[in-house]
Amino acid sequence: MSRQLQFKLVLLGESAVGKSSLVLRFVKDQFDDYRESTIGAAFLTQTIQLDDATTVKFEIWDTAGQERYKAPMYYRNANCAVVVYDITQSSSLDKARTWVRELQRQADPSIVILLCGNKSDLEPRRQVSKEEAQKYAEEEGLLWAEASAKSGDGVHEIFTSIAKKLPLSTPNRGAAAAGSSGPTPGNQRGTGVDLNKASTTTDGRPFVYKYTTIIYAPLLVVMAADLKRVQSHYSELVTIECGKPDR
Amino acid sequence: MSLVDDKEESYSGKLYLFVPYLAFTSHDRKSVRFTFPLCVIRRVERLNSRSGVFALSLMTWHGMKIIVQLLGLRPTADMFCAVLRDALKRELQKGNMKLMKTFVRTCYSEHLIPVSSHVADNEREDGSLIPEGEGPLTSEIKYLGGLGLKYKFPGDAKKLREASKIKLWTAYLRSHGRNLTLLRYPQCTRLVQVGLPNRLRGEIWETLSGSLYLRFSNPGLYEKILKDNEGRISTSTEEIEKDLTRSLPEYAAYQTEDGISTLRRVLTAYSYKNPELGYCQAMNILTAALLIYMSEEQAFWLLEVLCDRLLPGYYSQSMHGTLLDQRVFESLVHRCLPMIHEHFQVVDVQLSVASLPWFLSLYINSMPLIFAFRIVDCFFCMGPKVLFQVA
Repeated sequence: MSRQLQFKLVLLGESAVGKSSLVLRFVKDQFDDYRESTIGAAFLTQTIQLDDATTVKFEIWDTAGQERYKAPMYYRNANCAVVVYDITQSSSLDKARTWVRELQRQADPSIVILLCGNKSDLEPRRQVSKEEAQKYAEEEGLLWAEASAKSGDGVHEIFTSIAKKLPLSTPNRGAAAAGSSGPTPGNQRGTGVDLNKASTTTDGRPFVYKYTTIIYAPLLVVMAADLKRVQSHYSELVTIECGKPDR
Repeated sequence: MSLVDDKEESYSGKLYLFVPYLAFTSHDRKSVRFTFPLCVIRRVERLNSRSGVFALSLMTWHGMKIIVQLLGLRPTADMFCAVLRDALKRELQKGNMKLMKTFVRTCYSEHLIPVSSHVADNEREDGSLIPEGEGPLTSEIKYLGGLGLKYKFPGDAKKLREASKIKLWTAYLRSHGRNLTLLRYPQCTRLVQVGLPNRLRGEIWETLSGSLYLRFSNPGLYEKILKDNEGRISTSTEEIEKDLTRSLPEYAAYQTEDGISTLRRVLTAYSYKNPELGYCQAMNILTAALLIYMSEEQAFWLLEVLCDRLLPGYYSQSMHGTLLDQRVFESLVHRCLPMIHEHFQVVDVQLSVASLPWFLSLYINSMPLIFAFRIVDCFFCMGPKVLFQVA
């Protein structure tokens, strides 16, 4: 019988190293030259087929890079983390080291960490050598890879190698199922959640995204109501349509 | 006191004299409000008391006449008049009246309603649309505006009913004052709720948020900060640099060096103005949005009001204001929408994680721009509660 396991993955790293671009490449296989900086955190999901019997679904938390956004602990209950640095910015590796230390200290001890050097397409501007990063990763027991969100090189491999490292055998095993009574939603600690058993999580889209379109509807009703009040004062203003979204 | 306006409607409320400002709020805080710098007061006359009430008639720069009846004890009223008289004298000596005259020319509203049509001049009352650009009389001093004037405003002007909105605002601003002399009646709020017209948006934001007064009382400060800190590099400027191409990147101006450097100047100037806060991600998106509708200096002062007064602690190092408001929002949902609260519990979604970016960017990166600007309009008019209502 095939099974689907769900894991929470968090992306961390300095601002502008390409965390959101890696996610966009992995989830939609796209690259965008113009991307807005992430505010707070964004969620996305993506499923990969590990073998005939197993699919792994990642619930991805893409976070803002700026120091002051660290306050809300986005890596709480994360099963795996991708700590990203930019191979053209040596300072970004220092920041990645800080993140790794923090994860080792504060996160779930069973967390799988992958150190990822992004922007590998910018070879001529490289500041961080492969050897340096790889050596550090080995010392700390991290997975390591280089990738380019722009060209797509190595992006899929990052997520596959993490999936292989995750405790897939039985959902209940795993060192840190601490306090977890089983694979119920709301209790996604330590191990993945088998979606065939968990009835509530049926659809791939996280709740927030699924409902954003519905959120506009009452808003427009409110605006329309205000409009009516104004119309009663000014007959020449027949309708003000909100128009179509232009971005 | 009570205030009698041109339609002989009277409102009772409180009059405050904080030199160099005169402010009034009606008791219900809704019917009418104003904040005048004293230098916009052209003339004060003591009226022969109607049935023994002490009354003053004030004439503003834009030709509005307001009658103020002081209902306190006679000595208090006399003292008020003495303080007002002295303060007005000092304003005149400092040359602030002259400054005010040049200052108001930077406002778009002055070009909608040319100087010739002050004081009940009816020649433009026929309702004809004010032509694009300015008339020959007013073209000497250019009004301030945003990148939208050059790179187009988001949305379809026809669908947004720009022309009708401008017409309604012209009528309002003509009879109830504008920029420094605006009287805020409920009608003003209603006009804001249907969405501001693009060309007036920046000025109305300034006026309603009060940043207009900061710009007025600190002439040249923005340029000075930029000049004094030219070439300086700090953690903030480095962080700003990373985000310049990541702020409303789909808007045409931010794909040009022109737009990018405008954004850079405002953000770095603010980081020097308020070094403790420096720069916080989300301010880039916010400022990029403001700059579509206002000039650099206008956006700079509006940013000051936003970070300092409207959303204190939102963009600070600790971001405590944002975090606190997320808790408030979550508990409001818990109390008022228990079903939704429960659902989020079941699917294990922490609401604040989703709502944080809404509050921080005033919804600008959470929905199509034209909708978001409607929210921003209401935000500057009605205050931060709007963020909770929309959320």
